[in-house]
Amino acid sequence: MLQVKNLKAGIEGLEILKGFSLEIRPGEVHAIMGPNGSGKSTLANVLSGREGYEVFEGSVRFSEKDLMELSPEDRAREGLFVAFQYPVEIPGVSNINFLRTAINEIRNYHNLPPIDSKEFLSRVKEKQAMVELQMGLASRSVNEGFSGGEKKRNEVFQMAMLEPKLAILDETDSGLDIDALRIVANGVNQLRSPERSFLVITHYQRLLDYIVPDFVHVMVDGKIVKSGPKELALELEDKGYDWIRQEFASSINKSN
Amino acid sequence: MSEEIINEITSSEYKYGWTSDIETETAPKGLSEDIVRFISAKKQEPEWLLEYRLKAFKHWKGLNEPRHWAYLKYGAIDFQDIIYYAAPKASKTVDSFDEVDPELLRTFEKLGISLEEQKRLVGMQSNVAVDAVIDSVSVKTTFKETLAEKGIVFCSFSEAVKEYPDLVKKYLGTVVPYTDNFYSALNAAVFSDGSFCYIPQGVRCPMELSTYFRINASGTGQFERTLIVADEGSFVSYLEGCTAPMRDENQLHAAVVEIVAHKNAEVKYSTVQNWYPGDKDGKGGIYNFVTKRGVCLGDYSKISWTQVETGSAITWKYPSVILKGHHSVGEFYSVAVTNNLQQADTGTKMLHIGNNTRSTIISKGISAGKSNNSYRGLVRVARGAKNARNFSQCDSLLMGNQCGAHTFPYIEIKDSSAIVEHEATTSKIGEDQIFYCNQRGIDTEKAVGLIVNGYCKEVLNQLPMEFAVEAQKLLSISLEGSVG
Amino acid sequence: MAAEKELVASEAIAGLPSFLRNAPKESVLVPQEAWKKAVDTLARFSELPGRSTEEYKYTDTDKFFPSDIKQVDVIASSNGVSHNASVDEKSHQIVFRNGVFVETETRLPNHIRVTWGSKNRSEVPQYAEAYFASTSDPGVDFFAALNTIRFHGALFIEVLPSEGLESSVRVIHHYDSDSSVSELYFPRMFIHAHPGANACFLQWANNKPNGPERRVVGVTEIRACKNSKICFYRLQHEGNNFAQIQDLSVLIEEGGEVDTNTLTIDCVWVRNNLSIRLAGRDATAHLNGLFITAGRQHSDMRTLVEHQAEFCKSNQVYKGVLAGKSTGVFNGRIFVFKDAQKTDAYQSSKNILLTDDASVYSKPQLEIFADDVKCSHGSTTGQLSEDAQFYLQSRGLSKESARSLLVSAFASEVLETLKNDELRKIATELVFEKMNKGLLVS
Repeated sequence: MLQVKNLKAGIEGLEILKGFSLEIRPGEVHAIMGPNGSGKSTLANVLSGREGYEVFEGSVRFSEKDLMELSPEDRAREGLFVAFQYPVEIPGVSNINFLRTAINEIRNYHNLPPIDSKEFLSRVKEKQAMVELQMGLASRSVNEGFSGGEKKRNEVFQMAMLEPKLAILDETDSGLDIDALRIVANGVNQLRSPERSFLVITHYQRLLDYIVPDFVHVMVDGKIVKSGPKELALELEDKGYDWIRQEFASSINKSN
Repeated sequence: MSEEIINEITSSEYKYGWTSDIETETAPKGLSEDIVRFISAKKQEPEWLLEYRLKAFKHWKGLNEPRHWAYLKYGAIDFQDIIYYAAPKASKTVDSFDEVDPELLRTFEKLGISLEEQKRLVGMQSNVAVDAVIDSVSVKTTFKETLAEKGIVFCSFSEAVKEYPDLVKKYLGTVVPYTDNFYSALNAAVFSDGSFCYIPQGVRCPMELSTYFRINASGTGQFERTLIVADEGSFVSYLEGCTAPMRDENQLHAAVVEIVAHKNAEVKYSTVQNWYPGDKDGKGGIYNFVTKRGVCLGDYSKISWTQVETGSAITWKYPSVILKGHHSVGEFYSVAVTNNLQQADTGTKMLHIGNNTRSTIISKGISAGKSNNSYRGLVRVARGAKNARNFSQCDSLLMGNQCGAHTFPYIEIKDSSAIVEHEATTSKIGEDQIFYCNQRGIDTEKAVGLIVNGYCKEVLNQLPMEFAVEAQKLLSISLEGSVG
Repeated sequence: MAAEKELVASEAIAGLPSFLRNAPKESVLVPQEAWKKAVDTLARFSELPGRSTEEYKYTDTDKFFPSDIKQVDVIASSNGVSHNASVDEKSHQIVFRNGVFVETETRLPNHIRVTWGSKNRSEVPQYAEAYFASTSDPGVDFFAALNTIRFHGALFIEVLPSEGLESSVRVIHHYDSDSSVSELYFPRMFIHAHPGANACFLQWANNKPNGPERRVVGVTEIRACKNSKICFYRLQHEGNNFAQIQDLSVLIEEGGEVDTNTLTIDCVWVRNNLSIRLAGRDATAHLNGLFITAGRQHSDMRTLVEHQAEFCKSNQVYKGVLAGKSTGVFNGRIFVFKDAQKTDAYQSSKNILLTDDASVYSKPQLEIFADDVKCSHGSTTGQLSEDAQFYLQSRGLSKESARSLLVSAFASEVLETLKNDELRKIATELVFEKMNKGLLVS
């Protein structure tokens, strides 16, 4: 579904991703962990096509398409969803109106007619309950005046509504208390399916207690330095990132 | 945000730019006492009205065209190069639908305004009575009979002069005297038609009243006059819409609207102004120089103006409220969008005279292309006006780096019990907001429409339902793709 | 002085003394181009600025000049100035006495130098040549143009970079003559801050209250070069026989910072024009002010901030307290040029009316031509909080003290921006004193 090969990218000429490679197949859940400044958020930004990020080298294929050639909205329409770390507020635009527009744009891209109002509303109701979002929030402006936890739940709610092929969770756990974390994780788990993949970017292992990954990758200085099963996350929690750094450094020394 | 998008927006089309092939009778070009007499004679007006017109004309002759105080730039207008009267031939306001010229009907059908009551009754807009004005003349007023049952008068101004001369005489020029300004004097001398509306004591008007203005003939000016009187304890919601063909020339529209609200009465006046704005090089378009004012005459009365201004090459317009009655309320909600080379200098005046009066001003200006958009407003608390309250908020949104957004609020307070607050901000659409929409599959152009509509929500919420839908579409069209 | 022979202002202007209609063909100090501009400005007017001029909409100036007014010749009278006035040894100061620059009483730190010019253009220091009489645009305001044509002498102040020392300099104008006719003064000052220089100027007048009517039409220009920091604080408390129109024009270059404060505490009639041009990126301007008027006093504060370059900041806080039948005006204009992206401009104007006969006019203007900016203004007019008054009274304060305390609290937001302790103390006392004069009786 997603093949990232030797991706070198960054911002304002500065290389932050330094040869990043990753393959995600349908239905898989991958977690990327890493210390601050390792390039985790840059990865999410580059994949989603945020303005200002440049790709210097490498390739990204998503659903048999060259992802880097697509505009941000076409990436979304192809089924890429990013749950942002800091969702922006859009005053005056109701969540409902926003979602209906998004869904219809995506449907239009796939030559489907606009969604039936009844169906739309029943989906809203269903998905809202999934993330325990209050009814009132859906009719309020996008993210405006939402608490940190509400914003994150709203991101998962949107994810549920838009039914992406690949969802990237960019530090969705940051700033959440344990209850909110459980609700968010619960929402994500309900969306897991053989066709849908997840890329969970996080600093802490905590989230992975709730969203259990198939693979854990450790990212240091712009690339993956170690991959393993879910137990790797626990090991990291125990030993910290320095352990990986040292191991990585010594492996480089050896190869030299 | 990309150049491309800016280009795209500036090339969006005006969809009401067609003309109708209607036989028109016009006065000769130019303005003189003879022309004033000609108009009056055409309308078979009583002597007192002719005299009123002549007085106004005499006053107007002594005035200079106001050119410097507003934030507008345009060449001097040649007032002798304008046709002051144009009417569809053999037109008169007709009572029966069958008498209306089919071409006129087609014109209004095309504008989405059905003059056929039966049709409207089954259609979506069944709850609106319409006075349709083309060029200088009202061609048809719908639902007159239904309204008459409640004692509501809703007809063309010319008809009101004949049928209700006492009412017209009593109120004409009491809110906007012809001495008020250059264009109010001009209008008083040559006004051709418009709507008249009287809501009797205690009556809540059961449907929206609406006037639809259409300029069709070329080389003409449009000078309509609207008078709304809401008697004690009554309520009316009034809508106004307007369009004009695309022409290379600038056409002048200088209307006057007067509103009188008696004790406990409430008038809600909504406008969606979509006159032809000119092309992307600034060629053609309507000069919209309008004086709109209401007086809250009685205690506990309320006048509320809502306007969505997207059209006209130049807009010069300050719908105002004189708060004379104690506890009276004035409101002004405005969205003004300028694109390409459009210029708008618009705002309001809230004059607090009675005790415990309140006013609210919410203005949202959006500038794109090479346009200039100004808010100009006055809040005045007269000496001895106790406990006046005003809150004003004027926000501007700029798209691109070729346009300007300006705020000129005048605040004059002469009573120590007044509380007056004014806030203004200027911003642009956040790139992160657009990106967020993109990431959810919404393209930039749609995202801008969505965000702008959100930005204007407080104002759009004030519009009657069907108007609000129309206005939202209009906003997106006027700004198609406009991101700076 | 050259013979006065050119007619510069129309005969039709009512209220303008006839001797002000004429001017020499050219100035001794002002460059030719600025001179011509000033002459053209005067010629443009057919009446003194007032109601029909947008800039003076709420301030009529046609009664500004008493009919017996004479311009004081500060050059000829300079010999007569006493040299033994008491001098405060500790503080730095620049002294004028009845318009005459008094060098013997002026004392300055090493990095601040002054030059008095009155005879010919060679007296204009080199640093000022390109900026003197053009930093304050002589093409705009009637009175700034009038000063440009009429002033006899100008003081040039040069601020050089100093090692760390923060220096404040008082600029004191003493007015104590016993003239039998009304006096007219045209003070003129030019401050040049070299790159990296730093100084604080505190200006006020010591006006003898029972003397002749005095009128002052002043112009001060400041050029703050790269990364320099200048404070210019003006305290106005001249009393009843003194009316003034002051122009302060400031040019701030890259990274420079200028802090202005205008405290109008006891003035019968005053108009202040303050214009600031942020001409280089990262420049910063602070504009603060307070006016307290009572009786029939009139105070008009007008500011113009032009953002011409990117990444500049301006911040304005103006407050007014009005009592009696007084009138207060605030007109603030922020202008953002097309290329001034990332501008951050803020303006706040707050007024309190203590009596029903007072009037306040406020016009905060924004004119914006760049899209990526943060500009906002707010204006409020109201009265002292009844609840707060009641609360204080319930704790034993008299109504007067309660009101006086609340007014002080209202004023303190402006007074606290003063970076000079001495001036803040003086101003705070003056505010208190004015309120104790019965200002707050309602």
